[in-house]
Amino acid sequence: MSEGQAVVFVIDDDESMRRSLATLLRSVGLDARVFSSPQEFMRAERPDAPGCLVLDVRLPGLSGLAFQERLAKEGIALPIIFITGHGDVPMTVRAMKAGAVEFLSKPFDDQVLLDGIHGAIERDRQRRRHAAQLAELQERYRALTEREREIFTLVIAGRLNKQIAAELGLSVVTVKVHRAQVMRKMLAKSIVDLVRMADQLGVPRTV
Amino acid sequence: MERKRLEQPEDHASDALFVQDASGKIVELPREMRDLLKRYGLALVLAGLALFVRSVLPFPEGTSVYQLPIAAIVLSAWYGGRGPGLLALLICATGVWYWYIPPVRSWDISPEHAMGFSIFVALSLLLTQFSGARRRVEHALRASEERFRTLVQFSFDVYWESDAQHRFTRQEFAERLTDAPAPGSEIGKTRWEIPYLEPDEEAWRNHRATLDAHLPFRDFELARPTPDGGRRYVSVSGMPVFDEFGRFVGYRGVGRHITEHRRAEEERRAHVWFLESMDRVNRAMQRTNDLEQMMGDVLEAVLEIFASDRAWLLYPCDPDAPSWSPIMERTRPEFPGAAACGRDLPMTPESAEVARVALASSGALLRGGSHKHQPSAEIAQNFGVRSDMLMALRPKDDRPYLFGLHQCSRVRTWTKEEQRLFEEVGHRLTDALGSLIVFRGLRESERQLEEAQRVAHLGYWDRDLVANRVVLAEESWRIFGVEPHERPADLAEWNKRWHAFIDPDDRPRVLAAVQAALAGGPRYDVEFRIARKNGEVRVIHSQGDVIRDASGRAIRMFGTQQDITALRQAEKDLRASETRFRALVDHATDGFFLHADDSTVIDVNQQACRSLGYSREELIGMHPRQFDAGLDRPSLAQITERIGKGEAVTFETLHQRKDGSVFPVEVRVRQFQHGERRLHASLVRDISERKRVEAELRARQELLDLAQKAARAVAFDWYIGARESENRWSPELEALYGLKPGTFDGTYQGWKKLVHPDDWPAVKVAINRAHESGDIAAEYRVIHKDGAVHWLRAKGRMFFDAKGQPERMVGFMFDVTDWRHAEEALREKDNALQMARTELARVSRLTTLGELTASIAHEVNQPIGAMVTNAAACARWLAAQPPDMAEAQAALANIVADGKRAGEVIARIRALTRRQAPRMELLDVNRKVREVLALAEHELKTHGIVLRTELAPTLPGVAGDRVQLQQVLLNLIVNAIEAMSGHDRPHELTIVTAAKEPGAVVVEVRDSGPGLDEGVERVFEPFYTTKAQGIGIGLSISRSIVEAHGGRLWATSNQPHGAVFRFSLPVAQEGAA
Repeated sequence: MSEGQAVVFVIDDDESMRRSLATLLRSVGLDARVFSSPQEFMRAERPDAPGCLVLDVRLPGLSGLAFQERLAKEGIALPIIFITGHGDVPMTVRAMKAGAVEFLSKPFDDQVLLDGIHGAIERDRQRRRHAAQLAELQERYRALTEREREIFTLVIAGRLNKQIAAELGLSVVTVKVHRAQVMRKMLAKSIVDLVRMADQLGVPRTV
Repeated sequence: MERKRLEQPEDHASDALFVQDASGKIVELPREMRDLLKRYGLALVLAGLALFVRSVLPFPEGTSVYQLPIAAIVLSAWYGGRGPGLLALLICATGVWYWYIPPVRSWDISPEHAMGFSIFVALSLLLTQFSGARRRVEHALRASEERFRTLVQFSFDVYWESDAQHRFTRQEFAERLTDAPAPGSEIGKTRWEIPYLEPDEEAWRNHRATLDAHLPFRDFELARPTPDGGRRYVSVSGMPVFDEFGRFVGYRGVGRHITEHRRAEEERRAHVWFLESMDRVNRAMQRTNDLEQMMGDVLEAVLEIFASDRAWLLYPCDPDAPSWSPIMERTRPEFPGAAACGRDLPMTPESAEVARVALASSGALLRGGSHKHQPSAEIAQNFGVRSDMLMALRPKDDRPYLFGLHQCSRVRTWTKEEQRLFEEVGHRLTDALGSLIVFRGLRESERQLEEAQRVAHLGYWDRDLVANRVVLAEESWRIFGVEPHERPADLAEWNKRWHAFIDPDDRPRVLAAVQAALAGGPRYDVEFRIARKNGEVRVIHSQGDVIRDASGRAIRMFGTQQDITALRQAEKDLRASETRFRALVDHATDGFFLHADDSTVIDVNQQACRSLGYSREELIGMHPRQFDAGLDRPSLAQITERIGKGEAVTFETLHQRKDGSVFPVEVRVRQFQHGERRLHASLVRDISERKRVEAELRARQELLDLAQKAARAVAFDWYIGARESENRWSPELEALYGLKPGTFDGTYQGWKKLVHPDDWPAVKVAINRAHESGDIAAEYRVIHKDGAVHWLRAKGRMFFDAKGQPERMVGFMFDVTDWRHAEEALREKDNALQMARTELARVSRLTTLGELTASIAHEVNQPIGAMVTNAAACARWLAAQPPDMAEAQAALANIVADGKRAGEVIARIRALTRRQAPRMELLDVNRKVREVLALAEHELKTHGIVLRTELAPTLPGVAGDRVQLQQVLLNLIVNAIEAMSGHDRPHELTIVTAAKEPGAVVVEVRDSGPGLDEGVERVFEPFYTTKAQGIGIGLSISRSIVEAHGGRLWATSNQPHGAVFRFSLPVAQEGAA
């Protein structure tokens, strides 16, 4: 995963709107890519970089809100900023509930839009960072043997070595060796560290 | 002899030969002399060198170094022959004596020395002896060479040598040669520097290449001119010669004189060619009996044999004839001759001279090349002839022909053989022509006779009473229909057959005529009928004479017979035709008069008698003046004169009956030639009835005119299509259009120009309607010349021909300007109502407020949003360090464009107003349709639109808002009207209502406008418009209204033009209203 230059995608069917957004984003040094329809956006290649999507609610073919749902379904986790010519409260609520960063009515304040975009990009950046960390943890967890995973589960559940040994029908020494192996493979500095990792990985606390 | 003298010394190498000039000075030494000097000189020089070495170098006494120069001397002597050998011996002896045995004073020679000296002397003598052996070998060699030379002299005609530059150094000619060149005359020259005639440059180049490559060559043939103007052919072969070091020193070889050989070969070839060619010509002659074919074949063969460009025959070869024609010609394609032009050649003085010369000569006349005569300038220019060969042919029983060959491609000197062959061909051709012409003449006359008999159906017959033989001409057989294999063997048999052929009714008469003729009575000349085998009856006219011997006994009958069936039939037909014609004329309803040249009646038909009340006999001989009461003398004379010129004259006059009553007639007279006489035929028609009808019509027309004047109506009668050119307008009709009488051209285009252009579409529609219904009803304006606008109304009917094509329009035309003005005044009063109608239409464009607001807000906010964003971007570009002016300017330009767009949208929306809340009720769709149509009637009329309604007789009710549904309908209709305006096609609007789908009522609005060329669905998008004035919201609103009613609104294309909008509305549930 690279942390390259952030990209702002804009989807609006109105050409003058697209042009004005492009020049605005360019004026603050953002890389803006504009599309006239969701279909065009889906066809285009998207760089592996943090970014956000500025989406018009009223679009030909597929409405902005429907498109938001579709993106979520396809696992494209771009933060979305909605813009609309005539926004009403239910529409705003629906969009925000579905995870939109901002919902702006045209004409909107440029600073609000840019703040929203920067926030969204930051959010995306973090999301991407978290996703990267989690992936690493999962990698480490996958390296554990079946036995080590059993012991890992029991350790974070707060069992003592002796208890573990008894439960698994092993000697205490063997358990100790396995436990040290788990700590080493997971790069955990302490039991607390290991427990936090288990939280992130979603490893169940009880057996 | 001189050659021998020169050669002799050179053969003996050891002798010398000097060539001295007048003063005795030696100018040249022969080669052998030079060799001798070289050898002796070398020996002396070496000896001197030996002495010098012996005296200068301090050789110790007693050494045998001196033997070295001695040996050198001996060797050089050996090489040199007997003379040098002896000289060497002398020198050695002297040397030995002087230097080796000092002092001389004493003969006291030591035995050693004596021995050595003796051995030395012996050795020298031995060497000398060897030298003699070499001479002998040389001699043998020379003898061999002599033999070889003799052999060469016998085998070849010349022996030659050449140097490295291929210049002759030696040439020896055989003594037997009589045509050899002068000896030595070619020495020092190359082979090609000596005059030659053959071969060509190319061959010489190849030869020289061979020589330069130092390769041997064989049988190189060349021809040299001889002093007497002939050719000397020589065949040369040669071998390169290399010296002992392998250097090329020249060629040597032999040559043969092959002139005689060549001559013999050519003679033989010419002989064979002559025989072969003659054979070919003979075969061409014998191949056919057809004269043309034969001439063509012979000329073809001659053309090829002589390899000439044109072979021809001209006829007649007569200097006194005005022209001669190329009757046959064969040419190479590139040299077409006179026959290709297909015309005769005039006998010019030059041609006449040629013909004269050719006729005077028994053989061929050769021209061109080195011959005495040249082709005349005339043929050289006209036919490109450069050489030719001509000969007059004199076939039997015909005028002379001129036979000739042309050579155009090159100048050609004809050879003796060619001349001989040409003459021979000419003679053969003369014979062949003679026989074929006779043959052809005979055949031609036979054929002509037969043809004449066949055409005339005339054949002879010959009965030999003594020999019991009968001979009939081919045509005679044909007349009886007797096939060749059925012909009788003798006269007796034929007589039986002949009797059977004759019609039983005619038979006794014919036989009696034969008997009478034989008995010395009248000449046999009868006409009788025969029945052929197949039943066909022919009429025959037969006549003949009896030939008697000295005693008066009839021995033979000879005569002709002719098939005259066709003649008799034609006579019969003519009589029948005459009778028929007479009957026709008699029964005609018109009177028919035949007048002599002076107009006197010479015949009349029954009708003429009936109408005038005279009998035929009375009328014949009368002059037209006696029964004509209408024409005075001058006009009658004028008519007669016109008839005399051959004109067919028609005129009206009055005829007076015998009882004195007068009646109008139309007379048509024409002159015609009957044999020698010139007659007039006149056809007289009683036109009393026509006159009466005409008078009646005129009276009626006058009445009609009066009525028209009273009603201010003018009748029109207009032909369509083929008879359009017959259209004439009455002055009254022209006045309606503001035209001067007689100025209208009667064409459709001319009329179209008169109609006010704004009214033309409506007129066009009216015409189309008339095509369908036959009723004409139209109202339109015309502008008079003075600028006044007049409203005209046409009412009438259209008539169609059998095929249903319009043919004629008849009706009345009214000037309704005043009426129109009155109506307009009335309409102005009605204006308030109209305003209300417009207001309703405008108001009814509105729809549910929410939908509209959202659309409008979106449309307005879009450009405003863009403007704000652009403005923000612009500010940022300006605030940047350094400011980006280009980007800022671009953003500003965008702001301007977006601002304009926002303004346009707002302007479009201004017309909209609010409407009250909808109210649902049970509605009859048909009734709503009629109400809307009533509302739109004015609009339809204005645009000249033909309205057609197909409303279902019964329709279930639907629930809806009356105003909203009316608005949808109105919107669709207004759209249709606007779509059709500005197109020249017939404007048709069709409204259909039907309960097509279960539980739904469908309404269709069809137009014949341009149709929906873009996506059909796009028309329902808000603010999509194709109209200059529209906001593009009507269909969007209409769809939302229909959908709010639970129905659907959709569009498809109409065929062949236009669009169809349909909407369906659900049928109201019972009790819903």
